[in-house]
Amino acid sequence: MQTVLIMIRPLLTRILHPAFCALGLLCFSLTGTAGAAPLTQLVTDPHNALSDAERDQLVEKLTTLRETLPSHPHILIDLPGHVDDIDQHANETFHASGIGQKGQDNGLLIVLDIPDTQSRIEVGYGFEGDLTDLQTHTILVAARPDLKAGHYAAALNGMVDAIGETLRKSDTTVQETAAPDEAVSFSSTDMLLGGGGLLLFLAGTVLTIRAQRRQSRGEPLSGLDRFLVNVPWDVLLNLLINILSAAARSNSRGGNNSGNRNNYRSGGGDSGGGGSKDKW
Amino acid sequence: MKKLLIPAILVIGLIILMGSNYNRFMGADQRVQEQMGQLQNEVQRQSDLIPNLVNTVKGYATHEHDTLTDYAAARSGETPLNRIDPRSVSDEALQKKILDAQTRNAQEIKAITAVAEQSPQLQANQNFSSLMVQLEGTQNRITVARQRLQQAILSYNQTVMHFPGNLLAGVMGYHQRVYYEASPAAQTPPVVDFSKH
Repeated sequence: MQTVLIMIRPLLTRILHPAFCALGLLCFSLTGTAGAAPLTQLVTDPHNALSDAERDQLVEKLTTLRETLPSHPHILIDLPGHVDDIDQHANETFHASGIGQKGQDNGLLIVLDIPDTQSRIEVGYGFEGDLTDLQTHTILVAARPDLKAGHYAAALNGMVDAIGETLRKSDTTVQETAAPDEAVSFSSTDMLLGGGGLLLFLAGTVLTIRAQRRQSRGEPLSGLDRFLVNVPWDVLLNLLINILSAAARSNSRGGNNSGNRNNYRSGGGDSGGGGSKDKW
Repeated sequence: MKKLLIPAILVIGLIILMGSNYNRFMGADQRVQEQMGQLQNEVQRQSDLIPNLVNTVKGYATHEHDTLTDYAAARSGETPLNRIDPRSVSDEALQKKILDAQTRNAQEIKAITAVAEQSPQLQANQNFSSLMVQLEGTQNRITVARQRLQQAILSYNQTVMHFPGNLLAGVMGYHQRVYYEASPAAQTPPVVDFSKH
């Protein structure tokens, strides 16, 4: 048995290497998110509808609102260009970006689809009582003249001011906390799987060391010992490191601490389609 | 002692497998229940808005007056959707109730928009415009709730049908769920253009 295992080991390694590499690549490709791309900036303007100064002014205003209002609203602005369905785009982007704090859902997203002359304010669950569909519609209607004239910065400033004014009158208070991806959290399933994995790893290590000692002393080996001694651990370890590295890369998306005030880190908030849209 | 080591490892492994799978089944099932409840709430919210709209529209309605009155009569005396406990009825029965409510709401909205299209005065009515904005918002919430329910059911079904979960799901009482399929008529959003208001 041992001789057979020793003979087929190079063959196994040769087959397993490409197979594990393919598996690793598959794992890496599966870690990507489908659907809308998450926003990582307070003001996302890929088509440069706003000047740098206008964008900086908006970022300043959004940051001040978040810092000063008791509800600490996470307000983001998205100017994506053409979108097929602005309701769907706003909701999916909100969901993918995790705007607002987890559990508080104190997020808001303003979307301007300039090519199709439509706008939308998507309201997080936590603000649905403070900013009703009707109020958001009134804010959008009030911005129509500026939007029609192509004064997008003025329109957005007006919307943000109106939202700030409405939220200032509300009783919603939120305790601002760190984003969840800064403070690592584990679910009970993660703990169970992690604990079980650790237990198996320790048991495997102890049994392998014991088998290797027996082999070096020339003692007779059991079937399990022969298996443990001949498993290509280097290949398995390599695969594990690849998978963990791919998972770590995918989990680190959106995290950016370069000091740019326009950067936004997901807070885990969500919306259920609240808010309204308008056409100018 | 040595003889017991491997069975002990196997038993521990089995307990871990069962425990983690049970948590996964329960979590997936809970997400489906939550999303079902959310859809019930949103459809009921739409149903609650419609009588107000009908009252506003009635004065302007000529041809659709009787139709709207009939719908209002059919609606009275029904148990609101959000008061139905999802655990007290089967998935199919609950989905049918939601679907029936959505279909009837869509028919009423169609009758209301038919009145509005023929009446510029009604379109200019502030109360009517406000109600229609709310109705549009509710329709959007229903769309989101329906999509999330479908995703939750898909995720649940994958959990209970894929290996190794399929070995234990049936034993633990977790079976495959049916998807919620709303008819195209029930998904039709209100189509009043407010751009001129």
